[in-house]
Amino acid sequence: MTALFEARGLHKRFGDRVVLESIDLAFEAGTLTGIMGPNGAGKTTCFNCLTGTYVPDGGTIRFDGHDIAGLPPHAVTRLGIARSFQTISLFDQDSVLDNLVVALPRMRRRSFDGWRDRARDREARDEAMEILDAIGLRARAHVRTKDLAYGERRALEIGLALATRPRILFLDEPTSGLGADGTARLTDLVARLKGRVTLVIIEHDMRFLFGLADVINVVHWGQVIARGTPRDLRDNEWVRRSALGGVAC
Amino acid sequence: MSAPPLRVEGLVKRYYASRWGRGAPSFELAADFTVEKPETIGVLGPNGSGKTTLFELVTGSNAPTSGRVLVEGRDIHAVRYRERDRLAIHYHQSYQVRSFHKRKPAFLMERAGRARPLVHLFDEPQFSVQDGYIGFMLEFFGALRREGNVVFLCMHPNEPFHLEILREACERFIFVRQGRITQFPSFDRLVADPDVRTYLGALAPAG
Amino acid sequence: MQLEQFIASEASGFAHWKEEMTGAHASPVPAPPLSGAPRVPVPLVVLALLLASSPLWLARIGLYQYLALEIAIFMIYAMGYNLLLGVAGLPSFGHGAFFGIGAYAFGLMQLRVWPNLWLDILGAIALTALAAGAVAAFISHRRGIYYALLTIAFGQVFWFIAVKWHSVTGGEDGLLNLKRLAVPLGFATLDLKSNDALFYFTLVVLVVVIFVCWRIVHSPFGRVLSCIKQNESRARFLGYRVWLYKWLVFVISATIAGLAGALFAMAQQSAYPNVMSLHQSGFVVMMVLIGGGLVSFWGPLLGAAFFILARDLLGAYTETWLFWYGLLFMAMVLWKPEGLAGLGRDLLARGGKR
Repeated sequence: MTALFEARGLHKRFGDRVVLESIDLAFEAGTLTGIMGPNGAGKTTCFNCLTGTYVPDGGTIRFDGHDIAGLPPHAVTRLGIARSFQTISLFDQDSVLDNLVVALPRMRRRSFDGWRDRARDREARDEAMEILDAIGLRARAHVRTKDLAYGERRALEIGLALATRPRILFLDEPTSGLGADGTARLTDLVARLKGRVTLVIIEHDMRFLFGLADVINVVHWGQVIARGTPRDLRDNEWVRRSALGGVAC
Repeated sequence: MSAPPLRVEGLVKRYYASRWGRGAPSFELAADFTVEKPETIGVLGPNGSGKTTLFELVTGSNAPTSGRVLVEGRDIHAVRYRERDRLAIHYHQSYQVRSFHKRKPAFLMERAGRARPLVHLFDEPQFSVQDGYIGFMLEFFGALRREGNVVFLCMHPNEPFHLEILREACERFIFVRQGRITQFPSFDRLVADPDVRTYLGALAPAG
Repeated sequence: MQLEQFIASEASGFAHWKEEMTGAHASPVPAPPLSGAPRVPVPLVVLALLLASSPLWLARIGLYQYLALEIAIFMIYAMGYNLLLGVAGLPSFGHGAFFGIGAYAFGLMQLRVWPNLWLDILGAIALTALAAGAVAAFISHRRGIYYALLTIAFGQVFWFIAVKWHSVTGGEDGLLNLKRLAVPLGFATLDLKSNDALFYFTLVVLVVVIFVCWRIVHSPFGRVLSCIKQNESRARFLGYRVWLYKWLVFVISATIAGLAGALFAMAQQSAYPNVMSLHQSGFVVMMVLIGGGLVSFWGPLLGAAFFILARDLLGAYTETWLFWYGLLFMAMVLWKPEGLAGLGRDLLARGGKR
């Protein structure tokens, strides 16, 4: 079986500095893949290449038969690839509902309509409310986004990406800045998404990844230095000796 | 190819205290060694002994006073600046990259002729027993070596497990002290050397 | 189409997904309405009535009809400019160029092509749109300071052309002796020679422009513009081809400026390069900011009226009126960045509490 999404030999440099030496990744449809690694290892740069923010200097990226390396973000999104950001990135002045509506493909398709009142579209509203149900924010639909609690903003960050109807969803440190409670709630959300959309998650929280991921890639020095199921990875002697061992077992 | 993966030939780098390069050099690094086959080589030495300078010279990110560095027979200092890391790549622990004077325009220089680096130099990687990454790193060094690459692992051991890592990962060793290098064919020979023992202090294994 | 198919198939998959996901926590909380627009914007009615009745009271408070005409023209200009600055968050400091192109195009059409009001206004609009389309193609991929600097550069280019291309633009003097063309309505013609008549014509144009802007701001397109203003990069990652919206809003905004320029050429019976200069371009920015265009749809109208009145009233006392106006502008930016509209809103809120 060929993977839904596949990157080969991804190379990226900023001037004299090599940030990604050579990254090989493959994500099977319906799976949850974790990406972990120390700070500065190139995880986010890797995401940025995979989702169209950066044009890689070498290598190929294929998604469902399309060669997407070098495509701009909007084109990548339209193919069914969505991402969330480590630094929460929303439309702060608007209500939660308005945030989601603008992310829907049906709104995008009529976004050159400069005449009709956008509030008339009941179906778009209902569609957005479904996503709010999914991310547990229905009761907060009318709230201005910047007045949301941090954990709610994290959930909406994912909601916005979901609203684009992705087939593969990249989450960049979704639990970043969350306390134990928030992390638990977010874990719950991601667990419910698992299997319904292909997920790729960068995460520092080992407990989170080891509990949810089908496959984990360890990225360091701009390369995938280890890859395997959580079970494979925790078999490593040094992992067992580390604090991670306690988490993983 | 008959050329060895890495040949460091009469390499000398002198730094002078005065601007004009007169008088006695304040620091001098000299190295001459050959890596005949894919290997993992541990590099040890005190801070300021010249480890990082050696790595910079080998990867072509610093110009030598004299001598050559040949990767698969190709002089890395004659290759275009941007392409040198296709021969030998320096993985920094920090973001500091020393800039050096680039004398020749890149288009007059040679191409690297490789897509992936052959010599990988890891400069004091952050090893922490906490995060469990050590195991993956060691496996990775092993994989690089099995794929026919030369791996340098530079460390300044200050924990017992650092020596454990060196013993597990490296086949032979280079000890750098005051700009001079000494080679050791095995871990046991390394830790038997009196200079190395002095350097390791309390970490030196018994025997 | 592949994309449509994909979306259709995904939508059905999503319905199934939704069932499973929401079944457990379907809650009774009702969906709030989307942010939209009232069918008839009340302030527009108030403004139209106020301006329409101005011939009755303007002279009594010591003003004159030509002033109201100029205010109406600058309201059109500011309204269009605010689509760019206030709605889409794109700072253009060279908008005077398009105001000027509209004026020149209108003048040239009537002098050289055919003096028909509709045709000449259409020509002015078309030519401005063309110039704006070309400029926007260069700047729409930029953002922030680079965007602003490029608009200045292009503004200066057009100003330079207007000054130097004597055979067409008349150089420093500009096009003189332009006519206030009559309005051909088919069954009748309306003469616009008097200030009153031209004022009413302009007022009709103003109401149409405001209404069009009102619809744009509250449409799906306007929504995307607001998103681009708030978070351009996220808009891109939601699948929006951001530069195209930026291109389009620039063209719309500049075209409205061109329309205002055409009316201005009629009001002044001439077209001259001064309106294209950098500091004239700055005036419209000041109008919009002092009026509160960043926070209120109606702000630019207040700002335009305020600017023209200040110019006339302060100008009557001192040559250096712009200096005092500048101080006022600075005070406003420092203490009440929401502008006159924000000030008015505060007053209304305070009155409401009493």
